[in-house]
Amino acid sequence: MTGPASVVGSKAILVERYLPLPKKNAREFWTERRIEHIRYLASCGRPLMVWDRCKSDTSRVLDRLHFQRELEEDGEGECSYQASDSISVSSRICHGRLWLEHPIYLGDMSFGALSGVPNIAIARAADLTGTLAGIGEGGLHPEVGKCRRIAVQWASARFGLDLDVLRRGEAVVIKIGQGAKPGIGGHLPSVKVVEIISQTRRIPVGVDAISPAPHHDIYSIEDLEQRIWALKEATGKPVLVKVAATNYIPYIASGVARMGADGIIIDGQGAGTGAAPAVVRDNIGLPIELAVASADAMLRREGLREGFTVVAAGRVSSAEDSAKLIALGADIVSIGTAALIAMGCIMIHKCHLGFCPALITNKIIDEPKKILSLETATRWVVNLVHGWSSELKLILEKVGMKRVEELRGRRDLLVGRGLSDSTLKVLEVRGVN
Amino acid sequence: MPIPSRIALNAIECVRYRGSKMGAGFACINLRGEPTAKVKLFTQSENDSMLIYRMLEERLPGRAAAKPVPEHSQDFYSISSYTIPVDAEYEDLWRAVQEVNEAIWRDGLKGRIYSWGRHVDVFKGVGYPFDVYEIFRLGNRDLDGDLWLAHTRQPTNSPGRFPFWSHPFASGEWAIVHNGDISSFGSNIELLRSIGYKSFVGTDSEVIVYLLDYLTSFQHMNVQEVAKILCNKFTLDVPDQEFIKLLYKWRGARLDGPFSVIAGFCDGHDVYLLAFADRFKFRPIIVGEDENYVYAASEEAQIRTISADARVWTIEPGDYFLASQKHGIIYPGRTMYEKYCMLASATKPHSPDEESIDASNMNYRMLNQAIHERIELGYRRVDVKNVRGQRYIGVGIDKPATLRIFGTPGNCLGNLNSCLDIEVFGNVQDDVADVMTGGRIIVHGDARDVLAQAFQGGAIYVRGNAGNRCGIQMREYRDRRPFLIIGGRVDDYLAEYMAGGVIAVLGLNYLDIETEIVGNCIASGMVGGKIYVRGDVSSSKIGLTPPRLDVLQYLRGLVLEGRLSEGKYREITSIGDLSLHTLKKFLPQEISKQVSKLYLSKYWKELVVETRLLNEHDLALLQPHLQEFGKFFNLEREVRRVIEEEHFTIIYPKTEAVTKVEEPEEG
Amino acid sequence: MSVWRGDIVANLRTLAGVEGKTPSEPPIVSMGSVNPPLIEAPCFILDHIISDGAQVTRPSIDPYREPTETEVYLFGAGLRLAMPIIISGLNDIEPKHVSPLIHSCFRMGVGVHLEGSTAEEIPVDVRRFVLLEAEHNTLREIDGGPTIIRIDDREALVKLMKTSDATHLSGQLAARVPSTAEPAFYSSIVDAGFRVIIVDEDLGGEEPLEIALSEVDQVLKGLKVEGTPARYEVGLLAAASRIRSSSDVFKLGGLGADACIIRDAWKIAVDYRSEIATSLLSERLENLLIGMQREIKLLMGAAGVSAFQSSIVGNRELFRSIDLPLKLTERLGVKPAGE
Repeated sequence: MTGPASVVGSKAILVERYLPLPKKNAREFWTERRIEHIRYLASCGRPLMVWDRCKSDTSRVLDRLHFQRELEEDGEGECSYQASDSISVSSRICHGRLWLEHPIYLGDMSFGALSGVPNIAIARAADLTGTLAGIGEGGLHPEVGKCRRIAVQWASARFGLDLDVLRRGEAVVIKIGQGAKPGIGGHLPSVKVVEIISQTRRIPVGVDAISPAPHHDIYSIEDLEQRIWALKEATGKPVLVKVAATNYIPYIASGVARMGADGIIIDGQGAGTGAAPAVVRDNIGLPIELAVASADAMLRREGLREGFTVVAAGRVSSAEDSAKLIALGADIVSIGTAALIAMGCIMIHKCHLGFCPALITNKIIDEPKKILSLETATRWVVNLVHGWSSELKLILEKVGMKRVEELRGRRDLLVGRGLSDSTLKVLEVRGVN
Repeated sequence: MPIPSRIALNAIECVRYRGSKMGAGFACINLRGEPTAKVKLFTQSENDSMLIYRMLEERLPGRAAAKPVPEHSQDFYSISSYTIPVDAEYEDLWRAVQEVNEAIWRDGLKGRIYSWGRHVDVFKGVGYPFDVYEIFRLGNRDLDGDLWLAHTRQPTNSPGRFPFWSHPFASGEWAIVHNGDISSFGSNIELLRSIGYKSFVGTDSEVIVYLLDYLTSFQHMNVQEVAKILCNKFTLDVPDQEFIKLLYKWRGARLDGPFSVIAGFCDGHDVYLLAFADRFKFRPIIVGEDENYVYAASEEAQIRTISADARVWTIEPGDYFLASQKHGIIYPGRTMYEKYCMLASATKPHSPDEESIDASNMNYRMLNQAIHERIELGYRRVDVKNVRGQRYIGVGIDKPATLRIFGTPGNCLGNLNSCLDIEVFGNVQDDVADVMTGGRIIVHGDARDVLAQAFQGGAIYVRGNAGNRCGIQMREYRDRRPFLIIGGRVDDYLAEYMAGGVIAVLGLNYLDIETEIVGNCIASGMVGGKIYVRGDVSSSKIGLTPPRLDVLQYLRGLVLEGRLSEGKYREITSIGDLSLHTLKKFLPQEISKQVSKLYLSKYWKELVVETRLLNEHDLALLQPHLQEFGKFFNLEREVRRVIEEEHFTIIYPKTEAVTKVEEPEEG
Repeated sequence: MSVWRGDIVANLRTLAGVEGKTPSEPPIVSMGSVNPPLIEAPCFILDHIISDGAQVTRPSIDPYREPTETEVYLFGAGLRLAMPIIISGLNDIEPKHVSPLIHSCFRMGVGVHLEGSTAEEIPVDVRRFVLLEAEHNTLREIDGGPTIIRIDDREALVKLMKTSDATHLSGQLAARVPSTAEPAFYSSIVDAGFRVIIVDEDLGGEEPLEIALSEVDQVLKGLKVEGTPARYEVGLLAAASRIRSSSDVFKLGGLGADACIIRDAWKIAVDYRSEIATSLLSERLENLLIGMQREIKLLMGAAGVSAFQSSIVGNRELFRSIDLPLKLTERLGVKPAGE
């Protein structure tokens, strides 16, 4: 196969630095401050802060949740020290069948949506950090296929799948939905469907790669069970099911668990995407914090929580976010956009056009003048994971815990500020003024 | 001939894997019926049952003929069933039930009246069908029925701890079992509230039975009319104004989202079996008949459990099947069904080898293991007999061999197949050959829905018909080009999103009939590959056509502005098939271009559609596979005649749409 | 905080073809949303409401390749609109543009709300798509199609009924009323023979449109007309100049509106200026309407719904609210997200 795999040795200029952030008028969740924080972690792999004292600059529910411990402290929240070595953030997931050194899943961005080098960087970073990388629905890039800690995705279009591809990696992810566009299938705009993408996805060059909205073999919960067991029959691997956070998420989560899946990836509203209709992105789906809290509560009520893994995804921007999501009931979090930012994304929202100044989501062309340095990109993601975990350990230390697993479901450690009674009820969190 | 309860149990236990321990049940319907209504309730104690008895007494003074009698000794999560005979006018009884059920929950009791018919008797609880059967001691009761319903439940949107969430749901002389998740649920329940329904357990299944009962018992509509409203079938034609008015008035009763429903009903004179499916056919349903009975089920394997030789066929998307004890089949669920189901018995099975695997008492894992072992031992051919619904046959086997299956294999046959030749003597069920990359599948019968999804190498030959969404997302790459050949007809969405490969639909048993052998919306979203359908396919069946009324409205507007002549407009209104393809023939270019915006979008490009005899290029492409098809089914002469003499509709994407690549915008 | 946020305006103009190169195509975007209430500040209750995405137990529908029905019927199925949209605000534009734009709406099967014009100027065929408003404080049917009577409160209605010869009112009558939820008022309107009610926030009223609409829907379901619940005989429309987009139309549908009257959004979308050529305005309006219809279909399909009027209208179960006080969620009948 040609393309990015061989590009690694091409004559193109290797990009190894971050671009300056453009000034923007529109509001944005990924503010300059959030991006700078991620860049710091990615550059040095060390912690920058324990608590984000400026989180109230958006009105996301998660930003209006605080650890009680944070409110008891003064100061900036910044820090330059590491947490005690005795604190562990490693996690056993999928009924104990997978071991992660950090409670992090590098989430589901396809080859095609990303331009090759970032896909390889993420997969290698997963191997180097002992985490897990979801490869998304775009087929297996040969370099990604050499990595061990990957999860192969079975999505509605089955792009690039066969028995051999499915048997690679550590797990299979059945992708039902994604937070950026619940109820809509994957979409790689025609402009990005070039020869190599056409080869891996097995569709003609220059047509939109559309995944059907639903899986046409999964119309019901028992159909999902049928697919889960068919994939287990074919691969012998643990199976996770990725869904968007929607109205019935508590029931869906318990259904997924009951049907024999090993875990669920719940993707919240506002999560990243390479292409989505604005009207769908903006009007459908629940924020991840509400979804995780309600799904966890239902799973516990139904006696399905033990051994089953809940992965929280969508706008997970910091270790503090992950700590809160874990306290609300997640086991681990999925990092997608933050990983792109670590590799240089400046958030100009052009992924669907195939033009990416940071060379992450650009259209693949034959002899590019510039490409992202694989080595640097890999290092950035590895550092991000380490820096992130260091901050998470500091939070664990502050709340007096030795292991991240102790934090799971500890809603009592959280308080909500300025949240409505309905929200507090769903979160099962106390409100304060 | 009355049906013993054991038969219903066997047929539902056959698909035990579709359900869970979260609920199961049976309904028995008899024309004979009881002299008074049998009010059946779940409560936590005898005390509570007396409370409910008094609530009924209060509302229907002197009508509750006897105190509650416990129906079984064991209980479900501390809930037991009781029966009270009540002699009252239906409307009074209905009202009393509504009020009592509302009062039970308002007072915080865990209980519910779940059935109140003279002809309908419901037995349901928490557990697998066998558990419920045992708890109600149905086996010992010598209970026969003119009609039986059975259900095993996989809860979707409600927990399953209490028996009142189990199916069947009953209302008056109706009982239903349902598989689905109605998206119009919120609208349906609003209608029911506004017409006086007061208490709900909260499932969409219950809503369906209430709608059936309300429209037949209180609005006195006939069953077929009611079924049409609920099913909400898509149609390319414009329904008559009276039916539009009816649909409008009862829009709160129209069902949307996935469902398949099997209902039993007794109007005092006859017993009816009604089965219906949603407009997209998102849930499986199959019907059948033999000399004595009619059947409706989720899987063919269930019908085969009772009747090895029944003729079976499927309901068209959005349609219904209705049969009665006295009249037999009233509406078969599809037009042309005689021809359709003829094929199921068209090929007589070959006999399996003497040393074939007997799948009678094997689950899918045991069966796959046994097949695997033989292939590992070096067998080049493995025969399996008495297959009845086992799923995933052949999945995960990556050594070439021939697998011959005798019986009805379950869903997901040959998924991810890369090298096996699988020959099936019988019909196959849903999801055959998903992501098949090599090998062959030969079916001496019919295939059901979603055959050959993302099929990308090898060949699939089906002697009979196939269902909805066949060959969707087929694709080809490098030297691999998949071939899907269907001997009979197919339903809607053939080749949706198709990106490569070849599909041929031959309609071999329809040669003498003026009928189209494909359903609606074929080749919708097709971007590659080629489709051959024997005969002339109406172009409005290809892809997605805007509603006829919208197109006519647009043209009418142009007439009013003097841009289109009245005569031309009238001419167009008389055309049945208002596809863009057709309009272009009738309208000036400028106007057809303007109208085309109703049809085309960035994601919806026009396809090339040709109707003609096959030429040498077509033959070069098709002939080897058609010959192979003919050989497998002993149809060589017939196939040769068809490809030499018959017209085909040939569909493929325009190539320029494929080669033109937009340049990325800078900035 | 402006109602007309930059991204809303850009989306409308892209649909109309004023911006971008793909008119009528729902804009495709990338990376995360900034939508209210979580990032941008919410302006209205609508901004706190989200729709369902169907998955696992309920398949979603792909509206580009599979049928989804957006038509709505009013006046006992006597009037069919191709989509749940009625265009208003034509009275204050340049007169020469009015008739061509009405024709555009006619072609697209979209209704028009017109005040103060006379029926004679409108061709008979078109007239049945135009909801003509009678002079304020008169009760008079205008020939040839639906007539709107503006009614400010119950007293005004009583007075109107007394002063007019109401006995022979029989045609397609609509009442345009302020945003209020007073049950007795609506009961009188139904009794008086009106078969469409337009709840118009621009006429004032003590409730936000969302609350009034949702409660009126419930009130009508509790009333009876010839033995059946009034709501199934009486159409309900929502009107406000702040209805901005197809998603607003969709959500108001969920709260009970059969269709929405759009006053300002279309003018912003087509970049209305009197000097623009009429034909261009017409083309942009058609583009916009096709685009809004496609967006509505995307939302329907995502929710696993294939028919707007029977499955979306009043189907509160398909919607959830984010961070609204419980009291409001109860009045709306929309559950809090995650419950």
